[in-house]
Amino acid sequence: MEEEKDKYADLVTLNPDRSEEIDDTELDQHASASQQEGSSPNDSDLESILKRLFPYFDDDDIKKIAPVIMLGRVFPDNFSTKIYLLVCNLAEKHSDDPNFDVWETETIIEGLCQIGLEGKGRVEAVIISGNTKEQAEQESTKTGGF
Amino acid sequence: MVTEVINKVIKPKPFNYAPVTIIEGEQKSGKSETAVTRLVDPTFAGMTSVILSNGLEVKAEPALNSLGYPVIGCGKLWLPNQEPRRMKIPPSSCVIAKDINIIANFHLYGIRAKYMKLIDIIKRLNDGTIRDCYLDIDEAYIAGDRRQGLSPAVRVISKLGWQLAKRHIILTFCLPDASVLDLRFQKLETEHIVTSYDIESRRITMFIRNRKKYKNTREVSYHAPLYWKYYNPDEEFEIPEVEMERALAMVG
Repeated sequence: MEEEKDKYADLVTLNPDRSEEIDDTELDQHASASQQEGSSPNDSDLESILKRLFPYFDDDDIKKIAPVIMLGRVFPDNFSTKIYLLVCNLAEKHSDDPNFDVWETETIIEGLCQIGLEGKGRVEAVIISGNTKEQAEQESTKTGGF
Repeated sequence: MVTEVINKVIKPKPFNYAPVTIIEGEQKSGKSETAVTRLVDPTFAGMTSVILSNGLEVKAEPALNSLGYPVIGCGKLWLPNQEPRRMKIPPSSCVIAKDINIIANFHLYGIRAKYMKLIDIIKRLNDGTIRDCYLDIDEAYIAGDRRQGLSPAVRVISKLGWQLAKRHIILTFCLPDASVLDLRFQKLETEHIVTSYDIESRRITMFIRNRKKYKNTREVSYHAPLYWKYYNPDEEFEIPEVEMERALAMVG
């Protein structure tokens, strides 16, 4: 495998970009093609609802724990304690970061825990995918399976 | 499905199928550029270092926006004697994503890639070079013309086509009309894109049909100048010598 990677490295070309020929001022304000594709309004109902239900986060730490909280189960007895512990943990990790916002983090974590409260996130995902499957089956029946 | 929505950052997909994209459209409708976006975006999302214009390679990380997508032309750079910061990639630099291997039959600029003519791709089919990569073939009618379906070139490349998943290759073909492409390539297709370019707004619109990803056809447009510095839209492709010799013999 390493040998194959070396083969690629031997053949690779590292051309500088053509910025001398292209005026690229303010280009970074435009969304990439993949972003435009990902946020297209042509999403199906399921895609758009799931995007709202399970949001994406930029912060690496939150990104790591978010799917688990949203899809796992947060018990009501642990709700406040869990938020407190998670926010404290993140605050400690970012103790040297002047941009760290405690209030923003607390709001995000509370939102995540609400999605996971009593397995709500998981239940909603199951309901939505169930509905979609049912709808697809009905459509298939209408057309006689063709 | 849920994991797919959460993990929006672009990465090579797990190879439980062989992604083959055919991009078609009129001349200067943004076919090649659309193929370039499929290479530039993953490179910026997986950026690990940048080679500056003076040849110095510095550590880099992708600059993601609030939606988790890479900002094209930007990155977090560890410049010498400076605190790491999010900034515009300096002019005449080359972005490297060490996990993204790109092979294309046209030149790419500003991102790490391998330029290989079709003849080189065929020569290296068995030496382990053509694997774990994005493989882009522009002007694909030269290699895969339907009317030359029995030619050795088409037969060899179509054999590569059936092994894409095993070789972990994400393949993209660009050509003005997909019906010109040999039937065997058309059967491999998992995504079909038709492009058009609007001169006034300088936007390329893609009509994407990808049943593995989207239930409906998706209409998406992006700002064309964003990708202009990563390829040369006027790069010419050689017509195979053998065909020219045959044509000359017929005319003569």
